[in-house]
Parts: sequence; C-alpha cells; structure tokens
Amino acid sequence: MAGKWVTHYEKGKYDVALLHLDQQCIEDQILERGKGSLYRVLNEVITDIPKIVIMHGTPYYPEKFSKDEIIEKVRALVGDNTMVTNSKRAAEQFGWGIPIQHGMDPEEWFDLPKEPRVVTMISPGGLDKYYDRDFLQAIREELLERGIYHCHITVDWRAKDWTEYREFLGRSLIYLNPTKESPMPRARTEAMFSGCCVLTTPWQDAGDFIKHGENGFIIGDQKTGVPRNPKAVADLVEKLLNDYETCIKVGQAGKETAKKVFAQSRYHEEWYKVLCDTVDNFKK
Amino acid sequence: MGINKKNKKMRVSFLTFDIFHGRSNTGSSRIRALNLIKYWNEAGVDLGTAEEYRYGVEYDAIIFQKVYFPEFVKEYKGIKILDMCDADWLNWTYRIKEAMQYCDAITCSTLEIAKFVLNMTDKPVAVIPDRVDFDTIKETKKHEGVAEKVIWFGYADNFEVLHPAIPAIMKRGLEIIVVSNKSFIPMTQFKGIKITNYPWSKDNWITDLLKGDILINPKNTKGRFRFKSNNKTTQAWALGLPVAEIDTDIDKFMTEEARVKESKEKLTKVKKEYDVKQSVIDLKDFIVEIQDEKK
Repeated sequence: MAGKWVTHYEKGKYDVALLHLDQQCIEDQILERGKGSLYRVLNEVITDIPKIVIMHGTPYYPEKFSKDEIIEKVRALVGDNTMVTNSKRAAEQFGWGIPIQHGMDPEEWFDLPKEPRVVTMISPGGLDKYYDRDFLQAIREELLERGIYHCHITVDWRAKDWTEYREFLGRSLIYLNPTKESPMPRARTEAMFSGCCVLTTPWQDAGDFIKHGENGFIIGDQKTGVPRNPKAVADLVEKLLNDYETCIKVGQAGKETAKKVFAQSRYHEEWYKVLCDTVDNFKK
Repeated sequence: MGINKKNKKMRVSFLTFDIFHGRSNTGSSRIRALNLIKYWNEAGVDLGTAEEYRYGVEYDAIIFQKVYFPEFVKEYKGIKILDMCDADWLNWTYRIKEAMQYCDAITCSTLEIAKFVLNMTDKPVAVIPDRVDFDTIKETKKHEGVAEKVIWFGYADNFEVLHPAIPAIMKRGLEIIVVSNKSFIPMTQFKGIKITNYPWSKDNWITDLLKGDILINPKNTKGRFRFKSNNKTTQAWALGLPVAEIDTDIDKFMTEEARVKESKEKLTKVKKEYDVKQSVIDLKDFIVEIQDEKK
C-alpha cells in the first residue's frame, strides 16, 4: 500500500500510527516548538489507535542531559506506546524497546569503479559527542598533514540529488564512520552496499557484524590495535589508500555482509510482526 | 457578502511562522496571529473559535501566517489563506507562487505587498495592517524636559536602517537605546555615541521602550524596506512616544510640550485606527467572503 499525504488525523481511518522521537526532542524548547512538538501534539491528538514510537536516537546527549534524565523523560513521553529502536544496544540502554535494524534493497546502491578517496557522510552539525565530531575532526587534520583530503559529505561536497549522492558514494574507496552513539548510521550501511571499504567504530551493534580486516575495519577500539587516536586511524587510512586491492576485497566482503544482515525482507518481516503485535495487543 | 447571515461556526487555525520554523516570539507571529486569536471571541461576527495550529487536528480554515508550504495547502480542503507580511519572494528558498496558487486568498500587511502580489495572482487579496494589542499597554510615556534619549527596536537584520541615522543623533548630543535580539555596534567613526543595548524579551520590551523620549524609525523605501509595515510607528504611538523618521523630526520633538502634544494626537489616532480587534473584524469578514465564494 502506498503512503498518502493527509492534512489531519481522522478517527476510524487508520489501524496504527507511527510517531518519531529522538533524544533531542526532550529539550523543553524543541518539545514546545521544534521537532519534538510534532510528536507531542500528535500523541495527544491520536488516542483511538495503537501508536508505535520510532526512537531514532539513544540515551546519549551529555551536552544537555545525563543518561538517566533522558531515559526518564523519554519514558514519560512514550508512555504505553510501543517503542522501536534502531539498534539492539539502544534498546538495552533505554531498558525497553524493540530493536529493528534497518534493511535496504541492494539494487538501490551503486558499486562503481572506486576512486582512492576517504569519505564520511554525517550531518554537518549538532549532537557533537553523539557523532564524535571531535574524533572526526582530529582524523581529518591528521590526514591533511599527510596530504590526504578527507571528504565530509554535506560539508566539503554536496550532492545535487539522491542519484548523485549514491554515485559519489559508490565511487569512494574508503568510508569512515566515527560515530559514538548513533544507532546504526544509515550511511555506513549504504557504503557497505556500495562496496566501499568501511572503517567504523564498533559501537551500537557495529562490532557484531564487522570483523576487523575481513569485511571492514574497526577503529576507535584498543582491541583491534586502532584505538580512538587520530594518528592510529590516519595510519590505517594511509596504509589502505596504498593497498587498493585489500580495500576492494574488504569492500566486497562488506557488501556481502550487508546483503545478509541488512536484507530488506528481514526488515519487512520484523516490522510486520511489530505492527501486528501492537495492533493485536491494543485490541486485547 | 454573508456577514449578516447566521454564519457557520468554524474552527479556524493559524499555522504560524513560529510553529512551522520551530521558533518562538517572532514579531510577525505575535502581531498577525496570536494577537488575533486573543480577541477572536470578542470582535467581529461570530464565526466560532480560533487557535494556534496543532498537528493532526482538522480545521475549517487555516491561515498560513508567513508559511509557504505548497504540499500541505494543495491537499487541504478547508478555507486557506496565505498571510504575507514581508517581501519573502526575495528569499530564494521560499515557494510563494506555488503556495499562493493553492490558496483561496491572500492577506497582506501593507498595500505595497498587496500591489506586488496582485501581479502574481488573480486570487482575492486583502490588506490587513499590523495593529496593536492595547491590552499590553499598561502605561504610556510621561514626558519631562528636553529630550535626551532616542530609542530604536527591531531585529538585528534591520540594523542597516539604523546606521545612517547615527550622525544625526550624535550631532544633537542624544543617547540611543537599542532593543534588539543582538547588540547594535555603531560604525567605528561613530564610536563616541552613547549607546545602551537591551536584549529584546517577551516580558520587558514594552517597558524598555518607555526608557526613550523619541522613537526613531528611519525612513527607508529601498529594497525590501519598501514593503515593511508601520508597526514600529504605531506601537510607539500607542506608548505615547513621538516617532522621528528623518533628522528634522527629532528637532520637532525636543521639547516636552511638543512631545506631549504629539503623543496625545497620535494616541487618539492609533486607538481609532490600529486596534488589533479591527484586524479580527477584517479577517473574519474576509473569511466569510471567501466562504461565500467557495459555496
């Protein structure tokens, strides 16, 4: 069934509502006027059907709140609604929630001849500690010292449309994910489907599917010998840029992993189950 | 026009610039939406209720207050009015024409905007000026002695109109008070001017204005300023402050007697012509007109 734009909610027309929330929404001003208000108001207006809250974040926003404060405020906002998280770790951290890792159609991504460059795609600003922007910036500076230009997509380069983004990603040899608490960043999975050689922090489930040196590289973790040290990461990037064959091999292995772990069929099945369970439980 | 008939009770909503952009205390949302909602039940024909827009709620009419959201307007089936109070077509990220073409009508804060808009649409266009909420005026200016301080208020984006007025203020040995969202820093050659900056706040801006003897509202008809309303002037008049648009106006209001006289005259005028309740009446009448046309 295709989605349809509507201008208001009508009782009796729908079986279930999907609402969106993240840890920024709990800020008073954002809850009153910003993206949090969309959740707050719709949650008040829709009362006759079950609601599923898609929690896009994790209880990590140290610039503003402690973990416990976030959990308490999110719990108050979510109430009896079902909550879905993007990672298993996020559900563990909150103490409740149903994790559904995303799934994608492999055909949507382009595995093109790879240019020897290193890229990252995260938003240009905000939630600095969550994305670990300090770590990324330090790596960029270290790489620059070595004559390697890291491309932060959305900052250094912007796509004019979705196709141009996918083509640029598909032509990038190395994808670097610095995030600390972002639950399953989509762009990393997009890079895996595109055959990029992925370097990622192990947090928020990534350590479960990336095997260091096989289908990607774990950075920011002492165990792999590439700690959260910009010099260590730059060493690895520099080494890989001079070892094109390994990058391609690891990138292809990562692509196969993505097809298995992030299959759209699994994603649809998990969502279907949550939808059915939520509706059934509401009726009971 | 059906305003004398028994009108259908409607649930009217204002989708404000503040709500749409996640902001708060924006002047235009206050002047053109919140102040009208406040007096909706006591002014004009009985059309039902009015409120700030809430996501998901069904309304009979929506006023899109400086909100350009063509996808929503296109789908929405009730009465839809686009309210414009700035030359927003100069902002290349807005989609004014698209929003306009799906609306039933357009309201504008000034005749200049209305004239420009009429070039772009054959939809009904009405001018509903920015008006004053007299309920917020708890006291008016008590003028005493020779004027010492001039005052300006507004968004820092509009400082460019203030800079050219500084030499005239300095020449007369006056101080300037600026009430804004940022501090006003004069150009280096005018650094000798005595200046006090007050941050604009919802609770204090009106009492802060009373700290000045004369409001300066430098006349500027260039670019986007041609389309600006006179809301600073009417607000100042409502507070008993004379308004200087050019340097010689300042000279006219230097004495206590001149300011008291001007204050009385303009207060009478502004109470008669610029009470926000009149905007409620105007908007309700316009809605009824559109409602009749849609039938």
